[in-house]
Amino acid sequence: MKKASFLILLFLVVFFLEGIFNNAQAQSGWVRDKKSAYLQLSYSYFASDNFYNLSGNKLTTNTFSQHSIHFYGEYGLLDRLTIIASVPLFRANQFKNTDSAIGVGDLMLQLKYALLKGKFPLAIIIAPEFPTAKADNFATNKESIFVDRINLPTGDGEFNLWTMLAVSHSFGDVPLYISAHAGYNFRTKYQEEEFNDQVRYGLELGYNIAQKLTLNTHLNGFATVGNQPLTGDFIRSNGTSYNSYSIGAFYKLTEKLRLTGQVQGYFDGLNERKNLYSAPVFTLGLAWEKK
Amino acid sequence: MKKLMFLSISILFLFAFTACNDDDTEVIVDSSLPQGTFTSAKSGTFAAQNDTPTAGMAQLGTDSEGVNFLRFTPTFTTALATGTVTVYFSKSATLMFNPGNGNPNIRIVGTVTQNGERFFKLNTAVPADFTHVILWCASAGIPFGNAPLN
Repeated sequence: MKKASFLILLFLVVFFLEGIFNNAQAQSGWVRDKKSAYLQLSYSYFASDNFYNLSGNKLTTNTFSQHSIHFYGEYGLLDRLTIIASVPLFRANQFKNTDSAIGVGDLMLQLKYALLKGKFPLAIIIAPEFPTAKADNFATNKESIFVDRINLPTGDGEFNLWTMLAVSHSFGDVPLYISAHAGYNFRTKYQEEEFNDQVRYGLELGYNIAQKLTLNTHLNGFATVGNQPLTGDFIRSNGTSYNSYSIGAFYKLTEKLRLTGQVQGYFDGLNERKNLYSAPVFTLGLAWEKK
Repeated sequence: MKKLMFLSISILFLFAFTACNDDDTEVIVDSSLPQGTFTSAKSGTFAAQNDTPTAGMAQLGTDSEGVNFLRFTPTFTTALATGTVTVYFSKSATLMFNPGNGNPNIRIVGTVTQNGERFFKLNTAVPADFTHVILWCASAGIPFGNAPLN
């Protein structure tokens, strides 16, 4: 039965939220119990012709789309230490008039350590991201009479390091939880292009609406540190900023299997949308948990 | 034996002198480049669009043999990290596609993949009503810059 569950998890095409520029999953202050595990496979789809350039101006372009199958896994290595791996196993980027640039994405490892446990668990996360994707991956224009290619890599081509703090609280009698996080991304460079560092922060609210069903919502901010770069392609997200929201649900299929679904959108406000294709990201997923 | 030695030495001398003979140096003529002097008749500075680092000049002119060329000056740059940029002549600063009528307002020139000086050999003269050079990212369908031809 365990093997069957695992195989189902691996082979089902499932959907789970994974914004194309948002490599870090939602963060909480809880760490896993020692030797417990959580695995998730997800599929997300995104298509947009609304591009916000580095100045924040909205352009209408040919439609850009992305398909992604993403693996996410947590394991309780120690009582206070959880290791996490997150990687797009498959990603396909294309414009409507090009073929697809296909490949794996960048692997992110996370070490999550519980600074505080109890009513207000607080965790620190150190998360290096490795450029496991091809730094350059060209799609060919199918309509051009010349050889016309565009670089749509499935990763950003650089090593970077996220550090994050996350705190959570469960309201006990009321089946409600809240989490908040803030993080800083130390970025390096790709070839001659130096990347600006980035910050992100967010809130998550979850409510166990029925015995098997939990609803949650996120509100996140994402911003570039320092002077706004004047040039840079969207796929490497240098100079990218946005606010995002999401609405999602978790449904317990069995004691160990959960079906998840979520939709994420972007909006202006504190962080104006810049260097970003903006449209809803639709995701469904299947998760397996061993306590 | 003597004959054989004489023959060998003769062949060696022949090779040695032939290799040093300047008269036999091949001159490769690149017909895609101007012959002699390129003379600009019209030119304009690129204006960047959509946050690209587009800069430099476009020049329309002829070489010493009267062949028409479009030249991008050595200072030419645009956003090429993303791939290929297509070059058009246009009757306005905005590219107006009209495939149903044979795209009368634009003329495709070629593609550019590197910054710096570049020549495009033209089969015919460019009519005066084509007033602009447009840099077009065909995949995204947005302009990267344009230069008027004055």
